[in-house]
Amino acid sequence: MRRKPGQLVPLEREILEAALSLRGMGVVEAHGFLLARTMNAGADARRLTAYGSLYKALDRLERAGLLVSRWEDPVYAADAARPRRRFYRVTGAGERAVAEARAADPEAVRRTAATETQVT
Amino acid sequence: MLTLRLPGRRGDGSAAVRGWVAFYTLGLPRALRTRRRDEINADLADETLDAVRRGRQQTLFGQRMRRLVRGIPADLAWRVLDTPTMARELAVSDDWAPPTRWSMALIAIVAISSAGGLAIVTLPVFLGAAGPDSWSGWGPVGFTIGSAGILIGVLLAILWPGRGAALVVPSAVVGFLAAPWLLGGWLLAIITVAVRSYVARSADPADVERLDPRRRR
Repeated sequence: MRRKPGQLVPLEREILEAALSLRGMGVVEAHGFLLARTMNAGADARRLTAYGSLYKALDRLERAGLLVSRWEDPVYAADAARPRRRFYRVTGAGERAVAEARAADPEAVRRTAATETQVT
Repeated sequence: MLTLRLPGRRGDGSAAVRGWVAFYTLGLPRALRTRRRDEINADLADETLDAVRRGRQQTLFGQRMRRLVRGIPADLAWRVLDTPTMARELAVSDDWAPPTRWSMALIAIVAISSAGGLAIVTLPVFLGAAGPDSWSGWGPVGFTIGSAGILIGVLLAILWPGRGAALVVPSAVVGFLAAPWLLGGWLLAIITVAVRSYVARSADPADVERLDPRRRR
């Protein structure tokens, strides 16, 4: 997809909006599935973002400096009997990018804190 | 604590997703490959957990197949368009990756062979035992240049895989032109530096650490 440098595509904006929405609920860092679930909570809850689209977009956002990520402590994951997660956190640049996108297109899809009950 | 047998649950579609991820990440530097595979693995586990919590295990397979199929274009685009840049960024790291046992064994074989070849061809000249026809024609000169370049190149590749390869490949071509009957030897030299470069790129500890904090000490 051709786009201007720094411009967010809808999926990237949705991811950042979801991460910010989760942060508003006290979840500072979110893993991929939680982001997918949050992005989808307001719409058809069965239609989660595709694996490929989600992780490609997360990669792109991280390389653009709009997100930072880290692996979960493997000991904690082992205690929970599941694979370790990779956690993403919105950076200051990410927040600014979302604010600019909101200002440029206030009618675009936004996820809100109303999704809280569906993601926790 | 809720414990699930998450990976490889029969009939939930996770094996298909993992198989696809394993396929399109084949040949990538280890850090990139591991990251994507682990991340999808965690997603599958969380998706299973979510389905159990919601009592939707029956629809999990369909949901996974939809997520898998809809994401294939993005997976392919990531593999074809994004990963070369990411791999190059990894390859410019200054940190040295030690050779593996196999690449070191290949380097030793090629170094000893080329040193032996050099000795056989050049020693008679230095010892004054060479006959009048020993150095006639282009063959021995090309062989000497090729062998010397390969010897220096493979040793260089231990520290700087890229520079070693840059010397070995043209030297092997020169050697082949001079002594085509030694094709296997010249090819082995090229394969050796290719293996060394690939392993160094795949296993650079700094890269692995940067993308994979599990390996941090």
